[in-house]
Amino acid sequence: MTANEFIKKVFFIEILKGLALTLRHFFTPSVTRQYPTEKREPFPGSRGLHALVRDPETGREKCVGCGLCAAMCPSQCIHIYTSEDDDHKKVVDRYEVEVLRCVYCAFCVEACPYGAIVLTDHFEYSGYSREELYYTKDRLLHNWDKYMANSKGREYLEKFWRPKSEDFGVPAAGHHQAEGKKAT
Amino acid sequence: MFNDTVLKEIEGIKAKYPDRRSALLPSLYIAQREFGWLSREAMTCVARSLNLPEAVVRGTASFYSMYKHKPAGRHVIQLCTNISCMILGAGKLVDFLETRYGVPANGTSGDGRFSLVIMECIGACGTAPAMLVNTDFYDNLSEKRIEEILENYK
Amino acid sequence: MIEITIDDRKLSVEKGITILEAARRNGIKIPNLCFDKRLRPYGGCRMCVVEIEGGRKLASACGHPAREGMVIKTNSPRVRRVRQSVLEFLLVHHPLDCPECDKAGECALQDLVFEYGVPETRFTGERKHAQPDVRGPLIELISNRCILCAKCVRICSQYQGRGALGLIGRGFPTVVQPAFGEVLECDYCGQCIDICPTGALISKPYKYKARPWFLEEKENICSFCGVGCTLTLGIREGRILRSKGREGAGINDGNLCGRGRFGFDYIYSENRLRTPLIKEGDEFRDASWEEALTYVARSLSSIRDAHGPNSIGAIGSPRCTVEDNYMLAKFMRAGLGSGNIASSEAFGYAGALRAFSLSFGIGSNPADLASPLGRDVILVLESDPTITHPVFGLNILRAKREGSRLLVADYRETKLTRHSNTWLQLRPGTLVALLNGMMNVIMDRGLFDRDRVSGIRGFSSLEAVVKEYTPAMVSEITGLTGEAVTDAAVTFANAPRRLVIMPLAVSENNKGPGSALAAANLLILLGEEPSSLQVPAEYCNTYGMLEAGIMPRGGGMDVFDMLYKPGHLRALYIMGEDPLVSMPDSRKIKNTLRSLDFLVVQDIVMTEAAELANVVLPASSWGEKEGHFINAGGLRQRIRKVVEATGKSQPDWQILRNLGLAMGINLGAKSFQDITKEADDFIAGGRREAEGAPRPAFHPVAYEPEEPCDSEFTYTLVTRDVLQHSGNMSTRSEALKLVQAEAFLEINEKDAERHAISDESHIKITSRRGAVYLRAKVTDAVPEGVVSTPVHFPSGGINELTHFSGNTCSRLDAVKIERVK
Repeated sequence: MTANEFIKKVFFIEILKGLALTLRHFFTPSVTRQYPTEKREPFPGSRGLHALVRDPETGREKCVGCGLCAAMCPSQCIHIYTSEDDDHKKVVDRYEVEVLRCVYCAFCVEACPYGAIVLTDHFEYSGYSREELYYTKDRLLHNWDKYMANSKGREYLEKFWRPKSEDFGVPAAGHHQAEGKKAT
Repeated sequence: MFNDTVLKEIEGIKAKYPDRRSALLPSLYIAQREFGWLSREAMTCVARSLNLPEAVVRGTASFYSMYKHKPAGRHVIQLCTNISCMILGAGKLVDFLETRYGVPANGTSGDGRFSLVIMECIGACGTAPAMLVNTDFYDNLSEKRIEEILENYK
Repeated sequence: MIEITIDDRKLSVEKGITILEAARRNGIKIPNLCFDKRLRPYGGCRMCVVEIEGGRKLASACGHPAREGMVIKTNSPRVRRVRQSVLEFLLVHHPLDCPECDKAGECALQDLVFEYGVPETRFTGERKHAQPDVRGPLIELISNRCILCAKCVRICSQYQGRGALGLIGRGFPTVVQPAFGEVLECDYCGQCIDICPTGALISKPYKYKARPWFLEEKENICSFCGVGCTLTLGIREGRILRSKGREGAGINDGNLCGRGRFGFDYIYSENRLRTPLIKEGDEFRDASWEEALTYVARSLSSIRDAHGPNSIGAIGSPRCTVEDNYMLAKFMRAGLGSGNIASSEAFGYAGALRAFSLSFGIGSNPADLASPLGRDVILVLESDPTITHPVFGLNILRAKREGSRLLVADYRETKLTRHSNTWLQLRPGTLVALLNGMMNVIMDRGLFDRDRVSGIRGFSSLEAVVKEYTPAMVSEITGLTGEAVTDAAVTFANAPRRLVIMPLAVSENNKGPGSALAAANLLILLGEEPSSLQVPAEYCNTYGMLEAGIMPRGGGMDVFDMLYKPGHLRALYIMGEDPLVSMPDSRKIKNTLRSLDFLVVQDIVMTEAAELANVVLPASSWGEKEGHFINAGGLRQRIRKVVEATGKSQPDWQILRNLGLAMGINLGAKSFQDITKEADDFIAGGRREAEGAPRPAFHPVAYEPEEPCDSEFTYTLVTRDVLQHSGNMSTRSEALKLVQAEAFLEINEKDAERHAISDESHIKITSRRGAVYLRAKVTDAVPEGVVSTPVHFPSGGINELTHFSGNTCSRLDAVKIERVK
């Protein structure tokens, strides 16, 4: 033990240094937010509550019920039921997400060929029962209207979740079959 | 349905082959001869006399473009408009047939006398222009010669 | 055997097979889109190209025979490149609507594109924009998705023998469709749906119902005919959504008929019984199991005590499992002490069993589904196995393709007559005369081994009977020419390997046990074994039901006494059968049922007979219970519970056990395993008893005409099966009803003209027993003077017209026909 070390030990230099740091923080501005009274804007692209994209042209869900999201979902929390309507088109009868089981991996959004499902940046939801957090198609569409209104939703999807259908051509609205991408 | 003579003819064709499906093409020609073209009725008759499914008969018939799939006139003119014939004025002959006999290219005249089919080369380039009327061959055509020839096809 | 090398593996393969076949047999995968082992090589898709060492060009493996010393590479870079291009060309035209397409997930094209990578799109092609053809009842054609592999067209014409679909046109505009673009009218077997490598042909009942990866797949044995096919059921949320065949599964090896594929939804019929019902006055009221069983137990006990056990009878069901039927027999025999146990098979397969035991001296003669293969001559007698046993029928068609001569003796045109070498169009019900005539010719010309046969019991009496049936006389009875009879006899007798096929069914009145005896005589005369006489049992468990003891034994009454003679019985227990629909002369049966003191009906749906019952007990249907079916070949197959039981329904054996307990009888079965084991032992015992070498004997049958036509009743009525239905259970299926929802009467064009009857018009048809109204179907498939109708439909009430006389040759009825104004 050198003399220097000996003096440091006797006069509690290290402890004083630590206390000084603590003391300094008494006078610096606080980084802790007073949630929930004080809220921060979520980062763009953060993954929160699910929403089904509403097609502005038809006013209905964009989802065609291909089931890729459900196939991809690691926690198996998406349930889709489809049927045939009077015009022999495929319609989604039920699209349900068991939000409590979701792990927010957003594989569903990546898998979706049409950009029909999205994880919104809304993260504040809780409930006293499982039913409250069992989201049906109407509630999921309502989420879109509520959290992704106007152009926000489109930007969100384009910026963070480029739908796969852009790689192979999206069916034009109302068309039953997909158009091919023209060679350039 | 076919009459007995035709049925006998088809039976004769069937006898030539081990498989009745092989008799399909010649039988379709007979049906075409009897009905003028391969109408639904004609194909149904072939299907029945060969005991083949209609789908097979129609499928085979629709594959071959040299069967008549539309009603045709009494006489079918097949005129070549390929290079040699074209150079020697086959195009004018097409116009002539239309103005003189009212038979448009790949169509049928109003009186049902002629149908005109525009053909690719029929191998008579040396004596072009050339045509077939039904199964008869004519070459060195001119407007006048066509008029003479077609006199024989009422 | 030849030696070839595939992918550095030295293989020894059979000579003459293709490279693809050689690879498949050795577990080497070569991708393909147009190959199917049931079909001839086509070479249309070019996906199976392989590199053959020393060859300049790539060869398609499906059509290229393997030759000695060939060195083949199936996955070289060059091959992969070519396959990628093939896929690229296909995708120029194939729409990318996978998200909407039902095939996605089990699509051969999709899988290959996934395997070989999404090709870059170097070409722009015009895609087809045709509207899907949604007109047909069960099959939808989406020509845009078609890649023209022609598998559907080929399986339909080559394998199913139907040819309903064709490749119409040439080049890009080619479409798969019925000949003239009309609504697809076919057998609705749906084989084209399974075989399509893309989503161009899809099942309408399943359309957009679920993605394949949502389905839980379970296998079960089909509940319709006696073939006993294995269905691969797709289940979601406890509901069966689809049924399909899987290559390698079960005896059908991927083949299915329309009933198996579409008919399973009868278990979701709105008519299903959900709770026990007790009749009060004229109305049924819901009851609890306890109440219903107590009531039944009390009533049966008091009848037994008052009138003795023989006043109680029971009817078993060829639709119920071995366990259910065994339990019913045990309940009756051991529990109540009554031997009156019978079934509708008294009119059908039980008659065949009787014929087997009389003529061959054997207790059973299970059918062999592969029996038609490799025979030189196949004689089908007044039946159409392609309708009654469709997957068995496929083997007959296959045998014909592979060179067998097919002789069909039938009064009407059927798929088999169209494919036959010789169609002997005899008058209905005259089969015995034809067979006797054939024997006459054979004896006359000495086409049999007299030394060997003359020692067989009954030979002299056969000779005496058959002597009268000269070709001239047979010609008079059957309407065939004498030469036709002679030719058939000579062809049949001269063939080295022969087969006779003739299913006997309660629904067919043109043949009977006598016909089977006559056929057996013919075969014994020619020195054939019993296996040359194929009489496949009618329903899924006809064979098993009879083996489980549902037949009158020890002096018990048969259905003829129980149902046609009022007063013999006081109480009747009917399990899974509707005698008013399935058995002939239903008016008599109705009278008998009305005369009973007590009638219990245990079924899955409300039936005509159940309407007359005092108590109706709801049973769980196929798919809702465990058990075993024994198919026509005597093969015992497990059926499984794949969905939950409807309402309060219970498996039949369980109801019977509980009823036994309520009556104070312990039937000794605690669990399903117990009862299975017991039934098994019982059947094994029965089989041991029946074992033994055949002891052939001749039992000559003389032709007896049945109810001849007269000046008033001028037509002969023939009842028969239709392809879409099997018994009357299938008439509860919504999907099958889309094809055939109600009874109809087939009448010849000329007869129709005579009565001014047009297609679809209503006609009244009257026999000496009753009259019913039916829709007419004018056709040239039935001959003049004969009308034909299916008996499946409860609403048709056909069996009000029919009769039963004890004639063993046929049960034909004479009827008259009037147009309804």
